[in-house]
Amino acid sequence: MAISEQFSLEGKSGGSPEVLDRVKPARMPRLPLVLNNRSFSWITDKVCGIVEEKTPLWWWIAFCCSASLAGFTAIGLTYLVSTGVGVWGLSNPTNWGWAIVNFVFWIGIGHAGTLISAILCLLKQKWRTTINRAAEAMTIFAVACAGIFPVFHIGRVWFAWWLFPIPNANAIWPNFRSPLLWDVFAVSTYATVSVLFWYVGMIPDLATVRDRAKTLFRKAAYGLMAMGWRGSNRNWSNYEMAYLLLAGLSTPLVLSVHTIVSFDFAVSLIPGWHTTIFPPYFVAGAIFSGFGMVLTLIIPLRAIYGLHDLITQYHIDCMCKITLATGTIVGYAYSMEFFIAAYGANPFEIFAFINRAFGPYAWAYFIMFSCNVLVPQLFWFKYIRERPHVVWIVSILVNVGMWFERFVIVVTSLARDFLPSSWGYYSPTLVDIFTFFGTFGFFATLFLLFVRFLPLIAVAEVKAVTPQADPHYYQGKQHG
Amino acid sequence: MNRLYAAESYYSITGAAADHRLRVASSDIPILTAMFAAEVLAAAGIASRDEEALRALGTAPAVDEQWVRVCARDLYDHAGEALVVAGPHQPPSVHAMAMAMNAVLGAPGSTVTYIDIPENDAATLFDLAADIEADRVKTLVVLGGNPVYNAPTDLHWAEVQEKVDEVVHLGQYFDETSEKSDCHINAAHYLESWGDAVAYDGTVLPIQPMILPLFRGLTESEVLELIINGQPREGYDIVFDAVTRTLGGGRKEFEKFLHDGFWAGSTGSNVPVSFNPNAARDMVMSGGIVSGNLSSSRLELRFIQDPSLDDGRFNNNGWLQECPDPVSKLTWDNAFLISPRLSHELGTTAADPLVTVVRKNPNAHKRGREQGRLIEITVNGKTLRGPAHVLPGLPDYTVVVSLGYGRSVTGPIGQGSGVDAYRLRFADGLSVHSGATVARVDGVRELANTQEHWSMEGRAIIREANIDYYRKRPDFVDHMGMEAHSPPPLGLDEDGGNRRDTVGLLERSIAGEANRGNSAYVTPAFSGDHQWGMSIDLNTCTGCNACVIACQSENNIPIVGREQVLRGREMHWIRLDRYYSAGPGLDKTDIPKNPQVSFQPMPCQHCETAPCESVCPVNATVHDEEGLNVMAYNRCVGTRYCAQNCPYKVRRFNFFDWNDRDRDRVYEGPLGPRGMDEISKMVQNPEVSMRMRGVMEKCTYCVQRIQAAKIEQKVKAGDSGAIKVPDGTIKTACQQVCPAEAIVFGDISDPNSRVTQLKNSNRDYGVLAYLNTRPRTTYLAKLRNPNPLMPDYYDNPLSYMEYKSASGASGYSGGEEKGH
Repeated sequence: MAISEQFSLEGKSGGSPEVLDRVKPARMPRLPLVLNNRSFSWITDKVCGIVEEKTPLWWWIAFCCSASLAGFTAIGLTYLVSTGVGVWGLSNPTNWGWAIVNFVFWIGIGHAGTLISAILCLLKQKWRTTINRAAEAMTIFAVACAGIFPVFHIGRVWFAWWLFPIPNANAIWPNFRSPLLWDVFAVSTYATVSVLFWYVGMIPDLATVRDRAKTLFRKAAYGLMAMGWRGSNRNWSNYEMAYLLLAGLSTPLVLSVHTIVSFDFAVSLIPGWHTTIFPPYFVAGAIFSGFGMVLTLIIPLRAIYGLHDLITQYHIDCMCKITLATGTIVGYAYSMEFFIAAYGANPFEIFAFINRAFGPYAWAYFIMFSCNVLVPQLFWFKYIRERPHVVWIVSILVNVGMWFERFVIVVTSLARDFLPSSWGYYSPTLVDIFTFFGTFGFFATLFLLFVRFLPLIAVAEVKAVTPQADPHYYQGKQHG
Repeated sequence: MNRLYAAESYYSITGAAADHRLRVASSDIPILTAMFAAEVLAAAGIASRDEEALRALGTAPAVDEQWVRVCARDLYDHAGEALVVAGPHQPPSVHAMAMAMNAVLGAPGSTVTYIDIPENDAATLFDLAADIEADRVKTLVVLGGNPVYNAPTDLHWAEVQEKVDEVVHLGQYFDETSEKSDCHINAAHYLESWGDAVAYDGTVLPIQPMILPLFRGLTESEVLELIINGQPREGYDIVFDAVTRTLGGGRKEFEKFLHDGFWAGSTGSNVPVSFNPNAARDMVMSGGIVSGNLSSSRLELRFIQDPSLDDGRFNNNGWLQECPDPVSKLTWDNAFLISPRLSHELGTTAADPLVTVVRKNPNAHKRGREQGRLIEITVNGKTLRGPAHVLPGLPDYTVVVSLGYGRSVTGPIGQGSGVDAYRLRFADGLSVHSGATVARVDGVRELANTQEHWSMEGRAIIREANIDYYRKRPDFVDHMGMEAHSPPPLGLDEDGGNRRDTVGLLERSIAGEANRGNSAYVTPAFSGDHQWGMSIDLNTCTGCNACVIACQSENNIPIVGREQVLRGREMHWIRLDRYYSAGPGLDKTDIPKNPQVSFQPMPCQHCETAPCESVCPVNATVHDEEGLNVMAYNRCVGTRYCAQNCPYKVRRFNFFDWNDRDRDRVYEGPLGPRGMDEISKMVQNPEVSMRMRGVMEKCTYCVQRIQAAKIEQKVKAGDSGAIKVPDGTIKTACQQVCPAEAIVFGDISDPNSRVTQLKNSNRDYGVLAYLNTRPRTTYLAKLRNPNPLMPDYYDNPLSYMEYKSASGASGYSGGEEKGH
């Protein structure tokens, strides 16, 4: 109420023309980002309480389950390295299979965090504050999962370091023309900057946890992480500048990482890979899948910790709309690929796309298309956006679809390329499957640790966007 | 250009090379030959009782008489330069008619030479069995051979042999016969043996060992010497005595014989043979020539020697087990090859897909593995169960099965491969048996097929034309494929003229004059003294697989085993792609009844602007200054990106430690046994490095041979500076063995080298050259020479017509105008 009154007040005090009275414009009130007029101390208690409370039973159960699941990845990789890449389902012509699919999938998920933190920060989207911490954590953990695959999919893992430009006696450098090398730089840069960004943003909150710590160990641990934060004006001034700079630095990275990942395909000459549409298409898909994953994580978190006043329906609504928008961009890209293939009049390209949709992997294309293009269209309806459980299911389908998108791109193009004599059909082995599903355990383990030990909402930033943080808040109330 | 007509029941590589091929059951071939003979006589104008008598024998079912008539006419029109060859398994009546036709065609003395072969007065296996039954045999010595495995099934040889008191078997392997013998003697391999031989033309040749017998094996002559004289003698002495006694001379002449490799002047046993019409007439008329009258309930079962395993003697040879059958592309297994029609009737054909974007494969596949649906063939009450494989081009009711598989006593390689077709081979049907029945049974056997898809899908991969069309359009290859639309660097010259891919232009770009065709891509400079290239003539390639095995032997290419071939991990550096062409107009789910077959050897193309090189992140595959696309195994980390980006899919990845681990236990990883046994080590070529797991490999143009020749030339050159290796010095392994000399390797910077001259041919083209890969391996288009009067004549090969129909206006559009 207070806000809407404030807005109407502003309208009047601005001396609006009479015409506005006559047309009666629809009111578009700015929704509050923290509900129920929560105080600063409530927010601090709520978020820090999660870190400070006794470890709940559900956490232990979830942690044990996810850590066990992560064990599958560990076992799968051990077997792989000790025995050979042949334990996966790869063959000629499909020399890249699930590993690369999983890599692109996880890297894609790792896009939403930095997008929310950096791009939305620069665009002054204040609603980002309650979700950015968790989303950034998700990004880092997703990148960690992604990093497993390109390292371990190579034939001789013990020489993976040859991909780095390390001066050596033989004066052999990596091949700077190879998109895989660009990947090494793009992903490692992205991971580094994301970690920095996440950590820098967390320092004031870590200081809060430190200040509330009761045991010596917590004091020391959080004290160390808080890097002597004292909350002084100078601290805040430097912090804000550092944060802004990192946001500026991260913004191009959000676009570049997946662009470069898409170059792995676009720069090659395989029909179905060799297309200039890939960079924007991959970035849109990455944001799409990233937001899907944020929704998948945030909705249960909100329910478990009762964070409805901080992560409001408005937040969910915003994310649904971004998901819808990017999903539609992806759908446009799917259609445009067919147009380009037809317009290019290259029979190999035309075949690649017809084969994609109607060939032996049509089932995968169907899953991809329905999950990524059709299902998100539900988000046009406010009714759907207001049902968290439905949103949650859709968000999961989005990521199923995005996994299949990468599968369709990687596998269908390879399985049937130029010479029909070499065509084949790829299917994974159990080792592929377990290794991939294990990474969900790895991801969940890391995320559970994050939830348990670090403030999962950016307390300081949220306080700044509460209604009462607005300098005009009380003024408006008085006049109202 | 010659013209080959083939009438056959199996789709052999001869049939694939034929300009006209008639699919006809083996049991109908006698009557077909009679039809031919009648037509040849008619064409010759020898109207006679013979012609009438031959015509009275009837006609072969489902054979177009026009086909026979026109073919016979063509033969007679080329009398003196034509000949008729009858299959060795055909009855004497067929050979008599073939000889008669050859006589009419004036073949003897021109295209046919008769040689004198000493008459074989040895008794047959049946006589021996009768003697054993009559208890007239006390000791039996089996020199080579494996009768327990491959004697006619109704002879029951295993039981017969047991009645002999003492059986001694000489064989290279401990096989079925050894198992049933009292004594097994290791036979020396021919590379360990002294011996002599007589070639077809009568030349006497020596056989000299390359190595002392590894397992102290004995040759047949050494064993015979022991039996006859009771004293062991060296193989050398035996051969020396035999040769000098027969041909004269002494030690000096014998050494010259060994040095030369043949006995000078021993040629020439041509004998004049006069044709005896009366004897031939008797043979034909008493031959009982009738049609096989085949139907789905009365099938013909045709036994063939396996193209890889022969009669089973190579059953335990991994290279040959893993060598794909030239036509079916099956490895590690034989199968009952059946026609699409029979398959349809049996219900073994793969189900029609709901939607298909490519031509349907009649053989069902599940996750990329061929599902050989099991059938049972019954002959004379004996039944054999095995997988069926649909082979287009077979006569409707002929089932072809190759011998040599399904051995019960064999080495670890041969164990469990295929079915033993000898069990259906009766004395009255050693090659062909009419009257077999078939039944579909539940179950499948997965077949390790190296080529899943059979059609070129209208792509200009193998370019072929009829000779008449080629005469009219000598540059037809340049008007095919995407290159026909491409700018000059890839396609036609600015003046629309003939463009040869790697020659000429290369000199200009080496001289730094220009990027080719004003391409935005800098043409790499190749500064080497030699520029290596290869030309493969698709016109002479018969698809025989010799190159595949030669390469495997030269380059230490491991075998991977049946299970891994099923996964698509075979390691051959050169493969033979086999495409069936159905012609346009067929529905995508139709299986062609009588397709044309084209072969294409596919090694690494050594692209000048190699797509594999630019994507390798660690620079493990790079170009050398002589134009070779080289692999640094030591540098390879195994990202496999190169293999992905190779449009020819010729790169092979070591998914496991094939060389260092037990092939059957690779999945056990470090828990499995390790290391290579001493004999396997001796198989490896010491000039070529072994590759460990996780490393990519591919054809190197036999770089070890190139380097050796270069070094030798440098030594020879000394101060003269003549370090260019003379043309023809270096032969790649595949080139060396190619019986058709279809593969030519050499220096393309030398305008006089053979490879340059071949590449200057207007038939020369690069596969997928539109990708700007600039392959150093290019192909010479295949030409076919069909007879325009034949009922199965097409204006152009079916693959060309498929290409035309798939690509619409590409290439020449039929009229006089140029395509683009």
